[in-house]
Amino acid sequence: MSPEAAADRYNDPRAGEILDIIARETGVDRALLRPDATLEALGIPSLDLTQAVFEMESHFDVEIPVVVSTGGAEFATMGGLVQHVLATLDRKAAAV
Amino acid sequence: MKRRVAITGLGAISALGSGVPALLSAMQAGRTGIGPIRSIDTARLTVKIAAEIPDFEPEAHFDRRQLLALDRNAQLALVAAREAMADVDLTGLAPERGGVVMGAAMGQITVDAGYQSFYGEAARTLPPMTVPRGMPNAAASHLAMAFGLQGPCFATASACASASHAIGLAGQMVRSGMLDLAICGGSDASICVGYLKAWDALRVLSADACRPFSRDRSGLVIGEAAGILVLEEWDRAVARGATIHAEFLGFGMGADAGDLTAPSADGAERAMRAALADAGVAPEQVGYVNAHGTATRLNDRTETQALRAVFGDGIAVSSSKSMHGHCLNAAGGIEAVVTALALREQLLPPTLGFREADPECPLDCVPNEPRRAEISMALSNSFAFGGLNAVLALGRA
Repeated sequence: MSPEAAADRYNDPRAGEILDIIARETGVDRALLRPDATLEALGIPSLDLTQAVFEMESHFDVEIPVVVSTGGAEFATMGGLVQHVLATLDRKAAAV
Repeated sequence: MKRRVAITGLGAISALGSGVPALLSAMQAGRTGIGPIRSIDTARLTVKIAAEIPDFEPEAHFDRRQLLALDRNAQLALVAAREAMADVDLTGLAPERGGVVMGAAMGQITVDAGYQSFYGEAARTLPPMTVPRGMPNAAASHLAMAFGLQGPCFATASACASASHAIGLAGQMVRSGMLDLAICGGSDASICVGYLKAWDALRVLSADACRPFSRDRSGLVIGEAAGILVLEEWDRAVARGATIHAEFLGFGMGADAGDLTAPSADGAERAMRAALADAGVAPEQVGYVNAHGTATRLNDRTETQALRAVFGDGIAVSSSKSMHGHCLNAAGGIEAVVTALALREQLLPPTLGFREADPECPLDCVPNEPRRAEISMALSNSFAFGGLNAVLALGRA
């Protein structure tokens, strides 16, 4: 995904909710959760991210899958994570 | 030459209150913490009494993010360990020379709640911290992290003897030179519907009171607690001017290799004799035994036989479970703290709830009233399901 596309996804109102949850669960300043920021650079432990994903699943009432073929890369950057969660929500909306 | 082992820290949280001073004042007053269960819904429980910790507010001790990773079991362990470590100075201790050994207790409340939501409420997923909160080594790991101890750290699994095994092994490691300091003991957050229901199914729980060694005893009462000791190499403790509450003298353990749940007098006797031999102490030097004393018909009768075989007549024996309940995987921890206090304060804790002498339990069980006594050595007994026996020998400092 291009940086422009990722930034565009950030404008989705649901992205705000996703970032709120990540900030709350990881304790990282919301302003630092930029699309190109990596979890590694933000110093977010994997368990904290797992907890944040769990909270998102509860919040949106959806199962957020791990994509085996990408080896978890969808969780590597904030942009990738937001995109992955939004795509999951879009699939759910389409299935209803 | 064997090194000596000082007990330089005590920590306790139980139905008798938070902190060692609360435990001691209950021992002095002969007060029990057993009462109607308040913290959980008892609608589906047959037995509705327990020894619950009053007024424990996790948020007073941990922030929200810490609590995500902490079952109540580890919370209790940390609170008690902070108390035990409050006067301990780690200056000059290489991190790998400090260790942690705790009785293994699952994070029952976490596991119970997780499975309830999954099976009972068709939850899509379980909270991601279910496994790390539930694992039986969690408390030990949290203590090592909290105090930066990088030496041996593990949990011992021997049911209601777990914490005594933990303290015994920790004592041996300090005595042998493997460690210079160890945090040890046990914690058990046992007040949870599924777990109490499982105990209920064994038909060993009392519906009204805990009456160890009394003819009308009616079974055990489950308690929640953490009891922690800090063991330290004697010369290090003396050099830093530490308060030494008591001395770890020895440890005996063994297996009945008989029945899974029925206790054996021979097995209990062997473990007590092993502890005395390890400590280099003769039976007549022992002034007090903190009994396993569960208040089941079978345990108290069998333990009495074993005690009489080792000590004959006249040894003072009491079951502090009548005050703090049977704290299961934490039992040996809270009872070791009680035993250390008995030595330090020269005060025998009473066996509460005692109403009538039992011809099958001819013992001086310090009935109902605490007693002042000059004692220099004491044992703490733990005889667990599985036929696993552990006895600690402690001495006056």
